[in-house]
Amino acid sequence: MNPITNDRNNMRKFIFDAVAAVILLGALIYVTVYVRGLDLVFSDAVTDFRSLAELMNIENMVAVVYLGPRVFDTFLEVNVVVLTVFGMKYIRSTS
Amino acid sequence: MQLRDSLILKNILGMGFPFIAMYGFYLTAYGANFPGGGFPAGVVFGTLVIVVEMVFGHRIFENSFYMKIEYAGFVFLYAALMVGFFLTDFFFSGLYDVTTTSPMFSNVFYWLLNLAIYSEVSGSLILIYRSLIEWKDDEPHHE
Repeated sequence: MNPITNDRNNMRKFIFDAVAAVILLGALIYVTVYVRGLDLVFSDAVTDFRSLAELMNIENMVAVVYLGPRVFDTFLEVNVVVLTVFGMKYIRSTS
Repeated sequence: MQLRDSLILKNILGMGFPFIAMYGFYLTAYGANFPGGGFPAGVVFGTLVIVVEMVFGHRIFENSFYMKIEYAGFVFLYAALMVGFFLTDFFFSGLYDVTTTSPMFSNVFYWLLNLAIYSEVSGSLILIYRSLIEWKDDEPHHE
């Protein structure tokens, strides 16, 4: 490999490592200093899933949550599967 | 001995294929009122096709077929997202109130969502498996 290209790659690797180290250090400081003193507060406004199931005419409570209030989670999970297919195709085309 | 040499596997899969495929569709169709749903149903059907291809050694359909199935589910999910938004200003909403007395179509929108996820997951699973197999075949063999 060209020595100039090799130097550039080493420099990029160093910058990437430095940025990753700064982010991890920041996250560590945030977790140890700021988050430690926070109290967990659970919301009282719990959705009444039973009435939601009756409204939607569905008996499977898992389905009520899965495709109801958490439908975006499901949607993103499905997108992850699609992205996997595209990722496989991309890696095969480049390798 | 390889998988494709086993007569037991071949016979069981040959006889069980329509029933397992139907069970996968049942999980989708009745996902709103019984255990199941689009994701596990897609995994059932996708795994069935993969096992059949491994044992019988030939493809049931070409990649383009599964690609179409996958895209159909994907497009439907995005369509549901946008239609809900245009109707009610909330993504995915607005279609949940179409209900019937049938246990299969108790909520039509749930049924369609399950079907979209089923087709998308099953198509993707088969395509991922085939990509891995073809990728393995492309690699040079080192003796």
